[in-house]
Formats: sequence, structure tokens, C-alpha cells
Amino acid sequence: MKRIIRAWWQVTKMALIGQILTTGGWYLFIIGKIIRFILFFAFLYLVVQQRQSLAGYSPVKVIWFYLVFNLLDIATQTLFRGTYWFRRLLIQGDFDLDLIKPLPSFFRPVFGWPDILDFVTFIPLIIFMTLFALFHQLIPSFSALFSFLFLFINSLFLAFAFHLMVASICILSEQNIQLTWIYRDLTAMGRFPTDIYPRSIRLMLTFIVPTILLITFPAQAALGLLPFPSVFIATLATIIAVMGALKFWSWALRRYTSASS
Amino acid sequence: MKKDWVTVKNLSKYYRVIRKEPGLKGTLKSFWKPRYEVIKALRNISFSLKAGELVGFIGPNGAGKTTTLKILSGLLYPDQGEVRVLGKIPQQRHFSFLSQISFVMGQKKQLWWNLPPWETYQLNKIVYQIPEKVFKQRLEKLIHLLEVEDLIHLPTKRLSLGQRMKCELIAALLHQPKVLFLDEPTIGLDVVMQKKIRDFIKEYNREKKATIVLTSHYMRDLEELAQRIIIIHQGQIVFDGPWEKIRNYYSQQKLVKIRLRRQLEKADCPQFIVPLLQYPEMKLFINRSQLNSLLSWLSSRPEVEDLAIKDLPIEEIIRRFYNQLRN
Amino acid sequence: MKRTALSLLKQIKNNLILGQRLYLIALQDSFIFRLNFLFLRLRNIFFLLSITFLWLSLYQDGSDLFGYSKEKMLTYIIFVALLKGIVLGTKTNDLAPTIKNGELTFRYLIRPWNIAWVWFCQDWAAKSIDLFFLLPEVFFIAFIVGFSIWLPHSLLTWLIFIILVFLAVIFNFLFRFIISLSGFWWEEVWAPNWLFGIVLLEIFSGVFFPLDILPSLWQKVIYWTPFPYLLFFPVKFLLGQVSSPYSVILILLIWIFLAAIVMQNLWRRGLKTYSAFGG
Repeated sequence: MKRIIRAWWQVTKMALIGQILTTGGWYLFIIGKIIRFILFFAFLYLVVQQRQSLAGYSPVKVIWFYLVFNLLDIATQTLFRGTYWFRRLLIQGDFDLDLIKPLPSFFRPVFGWPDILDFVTFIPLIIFMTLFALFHQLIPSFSALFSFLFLFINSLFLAFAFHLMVASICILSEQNIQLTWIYRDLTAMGRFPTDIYPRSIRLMLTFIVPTILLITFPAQAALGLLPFPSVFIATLATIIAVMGALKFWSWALRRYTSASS
Repeated sequence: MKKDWVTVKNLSKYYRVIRKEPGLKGTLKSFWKPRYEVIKALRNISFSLKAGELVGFIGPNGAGKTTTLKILSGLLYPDQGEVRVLGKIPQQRHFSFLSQISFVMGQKKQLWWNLPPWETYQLNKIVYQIPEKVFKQRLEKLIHLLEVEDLIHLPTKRLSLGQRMKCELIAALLHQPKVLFLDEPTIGLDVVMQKKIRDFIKEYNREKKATIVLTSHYMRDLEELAQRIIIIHQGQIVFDGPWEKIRNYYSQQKLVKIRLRRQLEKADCPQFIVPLLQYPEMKLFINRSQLNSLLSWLSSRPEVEDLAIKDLPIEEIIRRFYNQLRN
Repeated sequence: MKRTALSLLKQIKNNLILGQRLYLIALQDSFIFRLNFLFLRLRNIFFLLSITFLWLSLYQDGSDLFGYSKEKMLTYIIFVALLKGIVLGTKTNDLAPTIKNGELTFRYLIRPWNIAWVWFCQDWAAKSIDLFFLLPEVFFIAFIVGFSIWLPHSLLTWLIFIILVFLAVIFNFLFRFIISLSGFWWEEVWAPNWLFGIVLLEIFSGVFFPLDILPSLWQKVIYWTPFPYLLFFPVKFLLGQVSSPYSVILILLIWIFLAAIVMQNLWRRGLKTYSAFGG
């Protein structure tokens, strides 16, 4: 296990070098992300200000949802960005050589291209969120804070299950980068408190891509609004998802017919 | 008696491929109802290899060579039959198995494109748990042998094909695998580089007693390296044995190369040569029985400037073998 | 004189035939990856849904927001979605990786094609597929909101709108092309393409929300970029909130002119410095 973490760290370093070596590219990403964040932040704030409420949440709480979404999004991107490149890896046929190495077969497809640069925005965001929460006194109790952290980690595992599933589909169908984008789009719907959506959409956001479990639950937990059974459901869902994804991946690997010679 | 390091019993492998009709209409049709076709890549093949054996796989494109290698290394799953390498089932991908094998494919790379090979070596060091000192020693030696001292710190994309191939080999051998699969390792390289790589492989096989399975379309590779040849054709093994055996099949014929000063007149020549007349060089495949009479006739001709008698070249042997199979 | 005119006409005809061929091939290309294709459409719908419900929720009490009535805001969303497909839809993304892995030499520079024309035709294939599917998608959204959208009555408005869209398409194409051309110097075209071609392009052209929500200082800055004129202003004009469409047209023309010059320049310089990767 330690070996795998060390390997991941080396891969992270290599991905970083790879990104920086390409002239002038990398800081543009960070700038772009910051611009997008600020603009959207401004938009949400200005718009909800006018109404003083969105689906029953005050502007401050709406912003909180947005912040939690960003936090999870960055973490997911940092860790699981490999899925975006997996398709190219498959087409080039070099994935074969990764399977020969003594690493979990899903190592490169999911973890193989970590985005440590994304992580650069992670720390400021955490600091901002902490200050924000403190200033507006959003978190009512220690158990709320604890549920939040627990559910956040839980969401990471759930996201892992999803990315693994996407990687499996990449193998089977070899042209499915779009699926990863669907995941992102559906989780992006969690930018806003999901109560704004009608029941049908919320069902979709629970069972197709569990945005509600991934984002809304932790956000609500921090505000002290999440009943305990929900925490339990989220955990159970994650366990099932991870096990299912691993099984699916093994099955897909069996059907793998590598790009021929 | 040495134990078998690789055993293959009754191995079969099938592929499903989608058949699409041409044109926009065909594309839309396959959009709604795709039609599949089953291709039998391998049919019931069996063989085994001992420690330190260097085996060459020959076969036309699509015969199943690479598929076999991929199944042996655990990349593909067999549809029927049993495969064991170093006593393990490759598909289970145990650390004890993967850490002792290596696969080099001529057209694929494990080195990261934008980074120097050195970084990939570091990664392999961690992945294969090679101790630092051992790693340094081996790396030094390999770099020196393959003459790439200055290159391993340059980004892979800046290296020429030959240089890259050498660095790939190093990456594959840092953990000193016991079984090495080489799929067209010299493809696209110039003659000098091919020889260097060949010599290196030979040395590795000799020194480390590693079992090596090699496929190549360059007969020189197989001639120089392989002690044993397995010929695969349409998914089946059609020959398995030492080089001499297959050479002897065709040892009845020799290749005679003639260089002429002047053209030979048709009227002057024996009947069987007439259709083969060329100027200024001729290549004739002659049966042993006719060889002596031909030679004595040729030695009397003033038009003949130079004469050479050779064994059938490998390419010719294999070509005839394939032709025989077709008929 | 007559001969050159004839040969010119022939050249145009050849280009059109070529264009049609490319168009059909590009269309087929999109269909081959079945699931992939469906997902692309789904993504679009999801995005539209999230924005639509946000606004519906905000408009629950019915009053105007930032000068937009509920109907006008929904019209804004719908038309921006439509225009996004028409104006911003592109396949030019392929050019950068093509340059990066050296394919450019092999596939294009060797052939005597006018490469810009090639890409333009492929772009149009992408746009027409987009449009074909956008119409029902947009209809679906309109259905969800009970068709409470606002449309202008005057034919002249629509006409001018179409002109604006046309100019926007041209500018976007040139812009994308220029970004891809940076592949000649920067090996990794991802970054500028992403930053300028996606993030800035989309945000500043009003895809997510109408730009006049933002503080006026921010607006002033953004209006110096070409992006608001691609989607935001044309739709605002449609909503009857732009007093003089001619200044928008003028600004677009200026930007197109600038982009064309830059493109010519870069292409010429790029061919000189181009180094096909060795090996």
C-alpha cells in the first residue's frame, strides 16, 4: 500500500513537471479558474441578494453550497483527472504497458494524471471557507463539523467509484470521454441548492449521478440540516458503489481487446 | 531436468468485430443495429519454454503472434485453454508475477512523452521496489552498455526512434525480469541500431538466463537470436523446432548468384536457364542435383565475372513455407 | 482575362465540391461513436435545465430582476443556448493536437488544400448537427417553462438579428483558428485554448447569465473584449434592449477585420517556424 502511495506521489510530480514544461500553459489554468470562480460567485451573490432567498436558503447559505461544490470539484479533479486522458491512452495503445506493471490495473486510468496545480486553489478555498463559515456562524455544532468532514471523505470515495466506472466504459466503448463530462455536468447542477429542482430532476440527481449525496449532503450537514439517517444512507451508497465499480472494472478488463499490433 | 517457465495448453482466443457498411446510410444502420463478426485469433495452440530459452515467433501479420504474447503477459484473457508463466496465471496479475516479467513493444512506449526517461526510471524503481543502490548500479550498467549516457535526461520526445528504443529497453530491464516479451523491438530502426539492440538482447539472455520470446519481421533478428522457432499461421502453430530443422526442409535448394560481364546468348544456355536469363546479375534457385552440372557449365563461360553459392536466405525459406501452407 | 475568370470559377466550384465531401465525412464521423454522440446532447440539456430552474426559482414571486421580466429572461436563456450551438460550435479543436503530434505536415501541408476552408466546412458540419438537435432540446425547455417566452414581432428585428449572428459566426471561427495556430509555437495548446476559447469566451459572451447583472465597472471592462458581441448583444437586441444595433455590427466588423489580419500573419509566420517532430 505504501508502495502505491509513493508511486502516486511520483506520478503526481511527473504530471506536474509535464504540465510546467509546456511553455506558459500552466498559470493560465489557474487564472482561468479564479476568474470563473469570482464571476460566478458574484453572479450568485448579486442575484440572490435581490430576492433574499433561494429555495428557502439565505444568500449566505446559497454561497456556502457553491463553496462546498467547488471544494469537492477541485479535490475530485486533483485526484481523478486521469480518466480524462484514459481514452487517449487507450487509443495510443500504451495502456498495455501500464497493465504489465505491478500496480492496480486502474492506477493509471484513474490516478495517472493528478492535477496538483488544481490543488493550488484548494488551500485558499479551504481558508476562505473556514473564515466564511466562522464569520457567518454557519456551523452550529461539532457534530455538524464532524459530519461534514466525514461526508466529504465519503464523497471522494463515491467520486472514485464513478470515475472508475467511467474508465470501465472507456474500455468497452473506447469513445466515452463524454461520460466523464456528463458526470461533471450533473455534479455541476449541485452548484445551487438542489431544492430548486423539481422532484424528477432530484431523483435523477440521486440515482443517476448522486449529486445530492456528493455535494448537497455534506453542505447541509455542515449547516446542521442533515438528519442522521441520511449520513448512513450516503455511506452505504458509497460502499455499494465502490464495490460495484471494482467488479465492473474487472469485468471490463476481461473484455479488453488492446489496440492491435 | 529444467522446469518449464512458460506453458501453454490448448489456448484459443476469439475477437468480436463490428461490421459496418460504407457510406452515410451504412453508418446510420450500424448506429441502430450493429452487426458482429467473430474472428478466431488463436486456435488450440500449445507449447512450452524452459528457463533461458530464446524463442522466435514468426508469422504473417494477423497470424496471432502478438495476441499470444499479450495472453502470456496477462493483457488479454484466453477464451479456452490454460496458460502458466513462472508457475502463475498471468491474468491474475500478482505482484510476484508482474515483477518478474517485462514487455517491450516496438510501437508502444512506457516512457512518458514530455519527460526525460530518467523520470520513468524513477517511477519503475518505486513500482518494482528496487533498492536505491541496486537501482543505481543497474542503471549505470545499462546506460553504459546501450551508450545513452547523455540522453536519459532529455525529454523523450526529443530522442530519435533508435535512442528511444534503447531507453525503453532500459526501462523494461531495470527490475531484471526473468521472462521478457519482445514484440517487434527493432521495427523502424536503421541497420546499425538493429544490430546493437540484437547484441544487447543476446547478451541479456546469455548473462541473466532470462527466457525471451521475440517476434519480428526482420529475419536477421530471428536468425541471430532465436535458438528455436515457432511459426504461427492463421492462429495455429505450424512449426515448432530449432532453426536447423526448418532450414533442412529447404536444404535441397541453393541460391546461386551470378554476375555477368556480357549477356549470355539464349542459344548457348541449357534449357532450364533460358527463362531466368538476366543481365548483369542473376539469382537462381537450383536443386542440389542440378547444381554440379550448372557449375561446371558456368565455369566454362567467359561471360561469367563472379559466382557465389549460398544457402537459401531465411526470407525465402519462410516465404516458401507460407506458400506451402496456402496450398 | 476571361481565362482567369473561368479558372477562378472552377476553383470555387472545386472548393464547394470538396466542402460538401468534407461536410458529409464530418457528419458521419460524429455518428460513428454512438453513445458518445448521445451524451453530447444530454450534456447540453442538463446545463440548460440547471440554469432554467435556477431562474424559475428566482422568479417565483413574479417580479422583474435586473430589468428582465420572467419571460424575457427565459427567452434569453433559450436563445443563448441556440446561439451557443450556432456561433460557438466548432471542430477547430482538432487543429491543435494535429500540430502537436506532427500530423499537420503529413496530412495537410503536403496537400494543396486551403486549410482554412477545410476547417470551416467541418465546423459547419458540427454546427448543423448541433442545430438539428438544439431545436427539439430548446423546445423541450420552452415546454417545461410553459412557453412563457417573449419573442419580437418585427421582421426587421429578426433580419438584423440574423446578420449579427452571421458576423458572430465568422469572428468565432477566426478566433478559434488563431488560438489553434498558437500550436505552432506552444507545444501545449490546451491552456490558451481553454482559457480564451472556453472559459472567457463563454462567461464573457453571456452563456451563463446576462452580463448586465454585473457591477457596471466590470461590465465596462468586459465590453472591451469581443466576446459579449457574439451572444449577449445579439440576444439583447432581440429582446429589444439595444437601442442601436448598428454600433454592434460595426464593432463586430472591426473585430473580424483584426482577427483576419492576425490570422494571416500567424499562419505565414507559423509555417516558417514549424518543425515537424523528429524520429
